[in-house]
Amino acid sequence: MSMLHSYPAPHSQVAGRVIDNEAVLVLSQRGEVQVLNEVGARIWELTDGTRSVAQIAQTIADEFDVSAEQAQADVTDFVTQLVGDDVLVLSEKPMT
Amino acid sequence: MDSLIHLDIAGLCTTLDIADHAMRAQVRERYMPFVVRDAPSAMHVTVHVVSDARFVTPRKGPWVIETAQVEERLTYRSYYDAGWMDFARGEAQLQIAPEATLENFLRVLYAHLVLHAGGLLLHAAGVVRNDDAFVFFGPSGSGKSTSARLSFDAGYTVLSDDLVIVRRCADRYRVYGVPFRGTEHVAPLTRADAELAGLFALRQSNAHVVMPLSSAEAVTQLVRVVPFVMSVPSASAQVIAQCTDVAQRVCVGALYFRKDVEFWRKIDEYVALVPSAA
Repeated sequence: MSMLHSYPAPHSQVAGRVIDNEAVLVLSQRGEVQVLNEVGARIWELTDGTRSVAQIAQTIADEFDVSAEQAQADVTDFVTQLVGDDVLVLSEKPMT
Repeated sequence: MDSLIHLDIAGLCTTLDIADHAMRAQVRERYMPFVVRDAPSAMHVTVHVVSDARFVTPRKGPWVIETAQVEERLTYRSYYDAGWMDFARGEAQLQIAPEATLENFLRVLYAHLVLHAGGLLLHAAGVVRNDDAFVFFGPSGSGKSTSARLSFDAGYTVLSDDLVIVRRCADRYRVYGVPFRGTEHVAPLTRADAELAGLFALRQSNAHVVMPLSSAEAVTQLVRVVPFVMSVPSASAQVIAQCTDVAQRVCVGALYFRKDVEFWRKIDEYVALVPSAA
């Protein structure tokens, strides 16, 4: 499965909320709290299972004035990290 | 009925049904200031005392308390007691060894009960000063007992040195004393409560300074001191929402303090400068 064409969504064991451009995430399984910065919080908002990584990267490129290539690389790295931390899960198809 | 004990903690009543005479006497003595004659009960807890009850194999490290959401029930398990809680039905059951206490079960029960009621159990010290309540929070070793002891010695009412309950009343919050205390027994148990004037994340230092926290920092630090409920994802989402609401309505800061009561002057200055947002 290509990362760019996969659909990330929050892990069922994670709760999160965006507060003043930062995201506070609670990882229930691990008993941890993580904080995401403004860009991370925006990516978190967009990872609702209906958008692919490529679509999320395009939105980030549009909103944060970075090149599409840079946004794709950064969003891919970020999503990979969050999947590894069990914050996000990936699907081959959009989740309803 | 003789087997029933009614507890009122932060306005949330539970009925403990304990047939075992010795356990009932122990509970009545331990929680005396919170025992009431009768009241509408949010939970009915049936307690069965079982000889040689063992539920978790002893291991090194922190005291083990395991909870899990299994369908409608929250299961609970520790070394010498185990049971379940059903908050929709208002029922709970516990099996417990005769030499054990209900303390951990009640802490977990109230952490969830107060969350269902729109409040929070916080790992924090609570102090009432001039009719206003102040909450000092942080992990073990951050200075909760120290701030409570210094305040008690100065003549203020200590709601708790380890855990307090914060509940929303209309558009404000109140802080309630609870019977759950740390190991140092800084002050006598009290059912007192007062309006919440400020919450402060504790940092031990060699000078008294109060620093503002961003909204996200305040919420993050509050979420980190909510015990017992975070293993349940739906509860975690509710905790974040509750902490966000508290941080929006009440002054939150980081208190760097040394071990003397002068830290109150910095708190007075800070609260005067940064009134609650609501």
